[in-house]
Amino acid sequence: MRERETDVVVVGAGGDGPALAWRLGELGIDVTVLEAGPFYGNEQWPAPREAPGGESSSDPSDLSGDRYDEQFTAKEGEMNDLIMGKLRWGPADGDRPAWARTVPQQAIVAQLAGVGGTTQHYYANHPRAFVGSVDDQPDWPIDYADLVPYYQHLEATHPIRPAPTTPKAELFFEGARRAGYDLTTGYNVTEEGYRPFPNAILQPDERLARDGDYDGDFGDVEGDTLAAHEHQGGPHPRGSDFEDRARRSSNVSLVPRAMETGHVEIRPNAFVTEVLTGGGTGDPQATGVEFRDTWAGTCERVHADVVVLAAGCIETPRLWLDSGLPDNGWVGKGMTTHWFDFVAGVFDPDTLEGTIGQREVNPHQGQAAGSRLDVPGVGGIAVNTFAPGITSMAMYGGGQGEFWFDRDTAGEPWDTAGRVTGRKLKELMSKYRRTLTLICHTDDRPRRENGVSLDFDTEDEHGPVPLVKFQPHPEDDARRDELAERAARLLREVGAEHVHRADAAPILLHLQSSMAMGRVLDEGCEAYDVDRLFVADHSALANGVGGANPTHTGQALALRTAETVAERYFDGVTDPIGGRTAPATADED
Amino acid sequence: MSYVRGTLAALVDAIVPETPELAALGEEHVPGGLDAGLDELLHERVNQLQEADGGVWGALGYDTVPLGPLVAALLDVAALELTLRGKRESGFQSPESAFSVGPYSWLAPRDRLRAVRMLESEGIVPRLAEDNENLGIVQYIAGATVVLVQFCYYTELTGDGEGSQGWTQAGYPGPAEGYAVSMGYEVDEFEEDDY
Repeated sequence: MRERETDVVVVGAGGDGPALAWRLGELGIDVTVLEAGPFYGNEQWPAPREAPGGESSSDPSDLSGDRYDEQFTAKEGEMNDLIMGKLRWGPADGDRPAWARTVPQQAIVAQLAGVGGTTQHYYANHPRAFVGSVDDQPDWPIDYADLVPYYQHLEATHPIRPAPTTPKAELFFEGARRAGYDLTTGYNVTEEGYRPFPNAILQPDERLARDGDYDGDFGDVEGDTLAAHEHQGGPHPRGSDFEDRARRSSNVSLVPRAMETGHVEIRPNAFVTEVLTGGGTGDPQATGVEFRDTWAGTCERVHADVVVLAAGCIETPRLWLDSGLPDNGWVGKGMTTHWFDFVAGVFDPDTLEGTIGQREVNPHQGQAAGSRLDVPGVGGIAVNTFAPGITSMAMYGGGQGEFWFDRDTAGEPWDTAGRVTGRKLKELMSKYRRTLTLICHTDDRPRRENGVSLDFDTEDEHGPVPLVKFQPHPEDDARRDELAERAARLLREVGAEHVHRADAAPILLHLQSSMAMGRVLDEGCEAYDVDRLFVADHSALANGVGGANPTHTGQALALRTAETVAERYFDGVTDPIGGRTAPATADED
Repeated sequence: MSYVRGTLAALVDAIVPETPELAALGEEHVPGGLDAGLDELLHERVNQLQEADGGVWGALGYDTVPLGPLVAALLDVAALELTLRGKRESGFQSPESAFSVGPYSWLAPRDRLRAVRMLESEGIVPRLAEDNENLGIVQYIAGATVVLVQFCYYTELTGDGEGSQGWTQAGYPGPAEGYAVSMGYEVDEFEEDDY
């Protein structure tokens, strides 16, 4: 078996792993990042779905905007088909099916493999955690204030800015105003209110004004082109350098920075199957990992002084359990999902003309998610728009319970609810251009019965597959109901002629807290029961951060964890981000 | 028409039917999922859901578990259960030519979806799954087929790769390089407020 050594080995190049790798690289620590999925937009893998390509990449010049443009077509079927699409939880090899998870209930799992992980289809929403979710809920062993310097560092780095107003955002804002909400302008959310999303998307060229006269092909602009293709991979603006793409997914924003340090190597097509341990008496000590090349099927080992798990809320506990590491009863447990729901409003052209000055909402134009309503203690509501396939799937096809025709909505704030089918589906989808879709992110709370264990009856080439369960508690249901009612009221206030509530079945997309700080991990995100083993993905979050989109907090915590790794096992940190009082600028790093 | 394809056709038709009554919106709104080959696409996807890693199917040379026959059989079982429990809202109907001959294909469109509910939460399979977790995958597959039908129909997958009937009916022009739709900023900069 081939064996190698490095300082730190990281399992997973998703949303958070590259943040940690970047910081460790800056501190002069050698890092090998093992990623199970493909590496899109890299010259080492000119045909990542068809051939094994290269072995690893550590040179920023490997990153290729041309390859990204070839591979990311922005067609939702080709990109987003969770079974055979380019963006899925599965191997790079396009002829092979997705990797198995056992989900013994109605649910959709929408995580992605590949460098960038699930940020490959994210909307770049980067709100901070709601303050109270860290300081007032009982889960976090650290304070909100501990996270702020890391938030600021990321806000300067990506960068993260208020999303521009587009017609669909203005429709939402007007609904929020009429419903009595105030505009909030602060990063630190303690009160309910509406605001533009803090998004990690480069601001659009000023020429792209609705009332302007731009009639170019968008090949001459920098920043966001307002094409609404975030879910399909968000490759715009085409023709620009890889690291200049507007939507700042971790592969675009953080991977190049990590590589620039000269200390970070990323190896895709490498599925880690075991955490190696040693040590004598007392707690076991992580010494490296074994991985399986997804193309060749061969196994290799990487030995390291420190092992960091960043494989996500499902695979991190699966790997832990498959490795036979100690289970204190919380490994894989306490998973939160934001217990999503969707509410849509359909508008008539005259109403839209009077409100936003055009006769269609046009959900396919502008940032996919640029405006939100914060309801601390309950969750959040946001504009969430998609191309038609995802719209139909999420809004009209992914519900739980009775189909729409068996539901009595008399007295409810919505006209229809549940899964819509038949002529009604086609009628509603024919009004796609006049529909505003909202998502509800519930502040669901960690519960031991929700999460990941192993399915010993189903093994793939990597061992027993994860068994994933999520059932909301009645208190979580009540929060979600409140959000759906608020969303419906907002849509009614601004003139929706038809309101639909999806009553969504569990969607496992925002996943948090299945390996939580304070339960499985200590205050530095090192495992209580295994030395030199850290976790740096959303599973380390102590809860669902109040229902705010989790990536900002996941990346902030990963930066902090990198500094803890350096302090505990390497030469320390002379200028910790956590010790800075003023926002850093990207130029300083 | 094969048993599997014909049974899935009955499901597709219940979710995205042909709708002559929508001709007033334009003739493009009339065709349904079967006109776009969605039954074939769904059959492919169902058979790609689960990798055959060794085991019986692997030994037989399959890369994936051919779940199509199982899904079709489950839909027929659910149709029988719906009928035996007296939960059908309509009488049996002669199957369309694209359908199969099993009981599922004889159900009225909405009853075909009530049968899906039998597999998800109301019938014998979910009841048994309370004691045998392995059966829970049936609940997952039942819900997933509905999701797959809707997702596939309204993407380019049911078309020529450049467009589709679903995109046309939704008025979606396909991927674009961008849109000049900025209306300025509600907030120019967020502030580091007290907390």
